[in-house]
Amino acid sequence: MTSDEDLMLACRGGSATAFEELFRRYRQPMWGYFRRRVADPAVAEDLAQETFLAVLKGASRYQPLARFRTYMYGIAHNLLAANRRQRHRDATEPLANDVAAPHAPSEDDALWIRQAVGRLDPDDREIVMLREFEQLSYQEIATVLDLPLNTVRSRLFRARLDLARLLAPESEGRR
Amino acid sequence: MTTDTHPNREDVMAWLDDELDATESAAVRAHVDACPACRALAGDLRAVSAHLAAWQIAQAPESLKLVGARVAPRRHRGFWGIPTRWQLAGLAALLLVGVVASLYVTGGSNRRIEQAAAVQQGQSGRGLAARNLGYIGATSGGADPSQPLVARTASLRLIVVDVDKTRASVEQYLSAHGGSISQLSVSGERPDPRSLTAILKVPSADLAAALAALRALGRVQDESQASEDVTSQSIDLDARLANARRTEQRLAAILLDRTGKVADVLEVEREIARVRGDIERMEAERKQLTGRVVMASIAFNAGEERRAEVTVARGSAASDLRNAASDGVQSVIALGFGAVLGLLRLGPTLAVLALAIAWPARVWWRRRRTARATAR
Repeated sequence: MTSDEDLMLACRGGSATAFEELFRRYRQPMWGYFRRRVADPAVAEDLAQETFLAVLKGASRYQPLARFRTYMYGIAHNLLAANRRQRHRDATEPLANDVAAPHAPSEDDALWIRQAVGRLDPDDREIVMLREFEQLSYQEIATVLDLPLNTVRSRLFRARLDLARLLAPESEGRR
Repeated sequence: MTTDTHPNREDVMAWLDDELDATESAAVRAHVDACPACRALAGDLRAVSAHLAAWQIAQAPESLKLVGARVAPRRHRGFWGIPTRWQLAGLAALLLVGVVASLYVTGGSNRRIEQAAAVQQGQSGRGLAARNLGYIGATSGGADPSQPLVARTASLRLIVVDVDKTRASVEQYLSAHGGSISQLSVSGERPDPRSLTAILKVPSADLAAALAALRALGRVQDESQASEDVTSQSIDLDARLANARRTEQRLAAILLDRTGKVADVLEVEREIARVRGDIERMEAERKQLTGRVVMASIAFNAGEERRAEVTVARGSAASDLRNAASDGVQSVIALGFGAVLGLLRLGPTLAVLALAIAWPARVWWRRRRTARATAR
């Protein structure tokens, strides 16, 4: 199977087929990335489209210095950050915690997970989500978020311990 | 690495994430297999991943697509952020749904009312149940077929004085108003601030009143509410359920004939079993959907305010002194052992360096002394 990096280099050479293949591979992952971080599905879809558009526009300048998916998630992260800044500027009221409602076996499990994830520090939350859902390596997460590798490790560990405490009630079991 | 010398806890996490090289990974794995404490840590980390893996995302929408080698243009939005073409389609669909729903929901209204009553079972207040059945019944053939079915959720975070008193107040309110606690946890230990987290269920018609009562228990840090229109989901589910039941009846009629070969009969029975499984799954889904509409969910969190207190040293001072002395001796032993290890590691290297430097230095010194002597 052709690697993502080779496909992107083919895009740089003007291959529409190569970009279609990249789009096919990353359509669902990009949708999942934004859908978990943005409550409004319409906004999530717009951001996913903008990410592909940005990749396409930047194809002529693409250099395979890192894995393609690191490059793509880096663009997605920047677009999401810009969108959040814009929405904070435009909001007339304090915005609610913008973690999208998850689908889970039961509605209560969904709220429980959302509550726990929403209570994490925003930076720690992003690290643990990139690891658990996007399956990025520690180095890739460090590249996307522009953080030192050791910082990613320690914050990921801290976030997971926090989630372990939040998701597993100590004194009262789930009723 | 032994069970007495644990790896860095982050290394256990890195091992689970396949972030270690082969040698480190083998060492950590061997330690975890032999060490209950590290095995428990690994178990906790795996459990977190398992919980989060349940966070499923639906398939990407059809509108997220490429057009040629271009990405599909961004949707143009009309009033209230809804794309213009969807507004027209929505009007036409609403008209059609109104006609279909008024014919359809009349037949299904009895079943939905029974299911809503079953959800209300065990909760106090017949009047409360009747009010909520009315909430559902308003969408049945009797009243207004265009009234949507809405699943409501809310979240509320408070700062409170005492978590125990808050919990008692919450339980009292829920008991009096037909609500319940779905999940609950209390974390923290005095004198540190404690925190209560719970998923509360309250009748949807009483959500506003419930939130007002909960707000009064403390200082609001943040609050949010959300509504999900599940009308189309409900109609679709009812349609699929009706189809499945009709299919089951037709298959049962075929089976009654028993004029076909044994293989055909067996095939029909297998199909009936499959359809029955689908019906039961959809009925469970129906019940859950009804539950979500009848009862709103509130993600509730109450945290105590930190109160600094002057505390007298607790416990035995002798025990603290003994522990401190033990730690001190341990530190000295570790320091001495570390020094020995350092010498053993660096000793040979230093010895070689010393030889390499000392010999030329000796030669140079002798020549210098000779030169001075001859210069006098």
